[in-house]
Amino acid sequence: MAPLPDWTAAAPAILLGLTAIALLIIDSISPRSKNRNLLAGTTLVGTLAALAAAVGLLVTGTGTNGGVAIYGGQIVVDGMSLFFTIIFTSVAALVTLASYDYLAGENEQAEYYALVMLATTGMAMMASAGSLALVFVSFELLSLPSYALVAFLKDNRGSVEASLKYLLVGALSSAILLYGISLVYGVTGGLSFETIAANIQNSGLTGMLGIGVLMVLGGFAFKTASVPFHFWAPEAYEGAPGPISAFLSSASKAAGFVVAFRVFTVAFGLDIVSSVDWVLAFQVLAIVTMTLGNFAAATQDNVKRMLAYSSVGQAGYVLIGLAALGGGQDALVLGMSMTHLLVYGFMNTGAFLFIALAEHWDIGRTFADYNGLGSQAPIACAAMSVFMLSLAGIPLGGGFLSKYFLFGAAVGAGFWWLAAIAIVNSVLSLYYYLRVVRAMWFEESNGDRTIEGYPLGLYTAVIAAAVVTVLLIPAFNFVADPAVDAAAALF
Amino acid sequence: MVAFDYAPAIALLPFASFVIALFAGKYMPKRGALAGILATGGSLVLSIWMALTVAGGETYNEELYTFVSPEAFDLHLGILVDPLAALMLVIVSLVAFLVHIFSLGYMNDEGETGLPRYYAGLGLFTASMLGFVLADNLFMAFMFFEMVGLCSWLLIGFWFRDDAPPSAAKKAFLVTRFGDYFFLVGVVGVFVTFSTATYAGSESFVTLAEEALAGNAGAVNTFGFDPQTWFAILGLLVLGGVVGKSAQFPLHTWLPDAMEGPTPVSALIHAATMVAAGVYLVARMYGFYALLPTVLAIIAFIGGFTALFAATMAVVKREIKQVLAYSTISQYGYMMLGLGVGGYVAATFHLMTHAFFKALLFLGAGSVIIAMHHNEDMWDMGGLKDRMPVTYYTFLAGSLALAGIFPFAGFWSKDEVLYEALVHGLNDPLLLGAYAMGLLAVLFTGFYTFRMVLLTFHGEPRSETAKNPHGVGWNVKLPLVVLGALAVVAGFINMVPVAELTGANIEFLHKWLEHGITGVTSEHYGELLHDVAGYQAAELNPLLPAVVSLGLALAGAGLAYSLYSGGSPERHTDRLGSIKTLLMSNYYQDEYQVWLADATTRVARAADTFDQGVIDGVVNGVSSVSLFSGSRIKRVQTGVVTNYAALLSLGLVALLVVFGLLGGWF
Repeated sequence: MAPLPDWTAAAPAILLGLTAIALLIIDSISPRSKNRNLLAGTTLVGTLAALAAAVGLLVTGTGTNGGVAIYGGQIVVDGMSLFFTIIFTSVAALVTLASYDYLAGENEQAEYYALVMLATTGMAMMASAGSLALVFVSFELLSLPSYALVAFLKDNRGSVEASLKYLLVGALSSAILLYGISLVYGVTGGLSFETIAANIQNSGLTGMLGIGVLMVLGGFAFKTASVPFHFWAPEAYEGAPGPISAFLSSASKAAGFVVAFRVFTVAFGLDIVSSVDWVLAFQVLAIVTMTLGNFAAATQDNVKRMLAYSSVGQAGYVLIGLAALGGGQDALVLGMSMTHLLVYGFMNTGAFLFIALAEHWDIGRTFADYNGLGSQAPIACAAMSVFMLSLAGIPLGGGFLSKYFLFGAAVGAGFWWLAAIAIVNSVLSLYYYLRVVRAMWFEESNGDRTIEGYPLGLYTAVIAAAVVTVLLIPAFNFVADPAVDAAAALF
Repeated sequence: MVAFDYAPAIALLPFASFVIALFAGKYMPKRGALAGILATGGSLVLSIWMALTVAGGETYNEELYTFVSPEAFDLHLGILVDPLAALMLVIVSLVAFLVHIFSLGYMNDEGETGLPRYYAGLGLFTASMLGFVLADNLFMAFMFFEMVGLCSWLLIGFWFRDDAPPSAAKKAFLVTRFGDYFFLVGVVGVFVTFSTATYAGSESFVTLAEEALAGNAGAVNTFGFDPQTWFAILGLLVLGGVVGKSAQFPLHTWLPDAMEGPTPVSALIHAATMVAAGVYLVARMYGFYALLPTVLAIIAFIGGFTALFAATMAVVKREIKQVLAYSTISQYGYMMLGLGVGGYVAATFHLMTHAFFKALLFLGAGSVIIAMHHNEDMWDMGGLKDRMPVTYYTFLAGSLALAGIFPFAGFWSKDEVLYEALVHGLNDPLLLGAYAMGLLAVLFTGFYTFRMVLLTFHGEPRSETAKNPHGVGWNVKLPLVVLGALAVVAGFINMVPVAELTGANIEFLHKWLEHGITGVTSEHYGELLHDVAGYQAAELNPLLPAVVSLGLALAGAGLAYSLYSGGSPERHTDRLGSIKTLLMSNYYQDEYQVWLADATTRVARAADTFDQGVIDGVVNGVSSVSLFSGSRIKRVQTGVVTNYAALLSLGLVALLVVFGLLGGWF
């Protein structure tokens, strides 16, 4: 059998893009279709096909030996890009499942799914981007559908307001990123990562390069919702429909990280740290982000907003992957950071989907509204407890192991103080995560809440996420090993 | 070897009966008793199979499940089946099996409530003890040791609605726990010293200790101490757990109170589980203690003292189970004495015979208690001999064994313990002192045993219930008969004086314990005692000491007969005057321990104040500071998008300025 042509390495992104087009075609044939089975089914099939393609490529070893570079190095498919594509498509699949019930009765379902698919395509492209030009294009391909998706509940003031804020902050951040890219281009004379890496040392324009690098960093910090580019996040996550909050806080954040990982390790590299200390910048960002995220989360009364801030805090932990570089444990630190993102992809998506479930039941948004829910919806509440404990780092889900190894790798790299601050934050996070668990199981229900029906799609998605979160404990090495290998290939 | 593949099942079967009784007991015809009987019966069959396989020269020493790989600490579950373990397995499963059958009569027929809980506790108790016996390392032994303690708490406090049982259960739990603290520290000490806690094999801590004393320290870390000193410290720490569980002075106070539990449970505790666990532990790691003459002398002295001390208290008790309780303490003192003077085989022998005759005595007492409608006062009994002959004759066999009368089981084993103490004591005055106390205790043992028999079964009935006792069924009589037979014959397996006299090869237990895994045989222990601990045995004919101790036992029994025989015996204990008060009050041991407990409570209260005030204060302070700063941080999020844009830009500018200055860009 002849070897497959190189372009097949981009199959996941291509499949996602084709699914988006297919959805648009369906929409043009029967506008405003409410055929949930057809629309959600098409999306799910496309997503799962992309997931299968990514897993297949990873298993067959496409990502090894530096991966496959196509279109003149514009697209690089390697272990890391496939690993992240798996995260994106998994989250997209869960979100699609959940949206099946969430969107019941809505008019613009085809657009919704098409936008989700376009955004996922953008993420897959970001993971494989080999030049800053493609980074920016795919970045916008992700951002623009996201703005629209946040505003999907057009009659809901919160949704629209959140979208507008997201758009404005996003526009500002895109501008900063673009300006940073142009400065880097000016210094190195190229946009592809190879060219940048080749020319970055002997440019002589350190100041300009430094400003460029930090502005690029700012652009990525916006996508990952890192302080001080996080302002949009609590508002957007709170205002957006539940599944979209899950999508943005898990997949979109991971997309920001993958592009940051690649640009900083491959294009900029650790050699420029003596003059442009981006590692120190990430350390500052990591500490500020995790501290602010956790402290703000601790005082929220609204569960969804608490989760929004908690996801800011979690981004702070993941930033350790870049902040603890240069300590001799680079592959391990970065690999564990990637693993944590994968585990986080399931536990955080699951948590937001549980919120979507609560929105579907219309039971209110504060902690007190969840009182005694455990007796009415025990399975969903058990799943939510798994997510909360796993996010807090208690060994009920994979979150414990990924956090443990991430902090452990940071200590091993000599950044014990970074790990210490992260642990203090983790302890604080226990407080607000357990508030949810306590409300669900240990508080008496106030008032008469009735739960009509147990929506199949939402339940499937929540339970699937919980099962994977728990299974990631025994299967941790199956995930962590490819992640560390993929990270090692970058250096 | 196929047989050993089933070794885990010995402990798992009673565990299964625990689960069944707990969850399904209330739906079953005998409330879980049948499951327990089947399970312990299965364990007994398997144990006998193990013993036969071991008799064929096979042994088993395998790791089953590893918690932590051997790089740092070797924490694992494993199984060690050698002659000692096989013997103990048979004893424990046999006694547990008979106790289960007896419980049908004592609990089911008496219409007790909460039976599933009772049988669940019994099953778990048996399983824990069997797991403890099977353990191939100290870590696993400690886990099961603690489970045994927990089960004793559950069962002693079985009648938790009354006042006394819960309090007795708490006392048993706390006092043994006090000893277990030392044990725990000892286990940790063994780990940090040897990085392993396995009993047998070339990598075991016993072998490593032996090599370290021979000058080949290897990886053994003694923290700057002389190895001999450091090992003695470890040995004494582990001994703390032994003293607690085996109810040796001064931690014996829990055991008489533990009589508040159901009588079959007392039989199980005293004969096969819990109390036996302590002595078994010393025997199990005897290769370690044999290296340490100081510790051995302490063990011997504690044992001898406890034997005498407890026997004196048993003299004045009014309740039948109280007498038996103090006799248990005293008899375990003999075992400790035997171990301390280097009589490993003698102590194991006494452990075995005692298991049979003490289980018998407790079950016999249980039978009497059923007959007496749960009145335990011996002064209300009398004359039961004719009304319950099976109980009487089996009880008498057990009593003769306990008193050490020829040719019953207890005679042979107690005599061998005392003989070992004497021959080693002739070269060591400390051991001789221990021997003297042990010998004197024989007199008291003979006295209190026959006082008990006479008051219970002889003379005229002293109450209405004693005139018309309640009958007992087959399920009570069968265990009594089996154990009664054993109390008569069990001693014949190791008749050392007869062997010495006739030259016949009939010291079967010596032969039994001589083979097995290299380094854990009685032969090897003998070499260690001689070469490392410097024990010298004097040449002495065993006949004379045997005659002396038998004479003392008979004298004690005769004194009891002269005082308490006849139709209506008098209460002679009043003649003891203030000594009676002292003995009735158990030498005020409980009082000083209560005082100790009060002092501990005062310390605890101070610690509580510290915890409430300082620790909680700090914790609360941290959380309120966190929440306060959290609420401040929340205000950054104003909801006004222009503020966001401004803050975002300012943040970026700040980053640029700081890093520009740091990196020297300008």
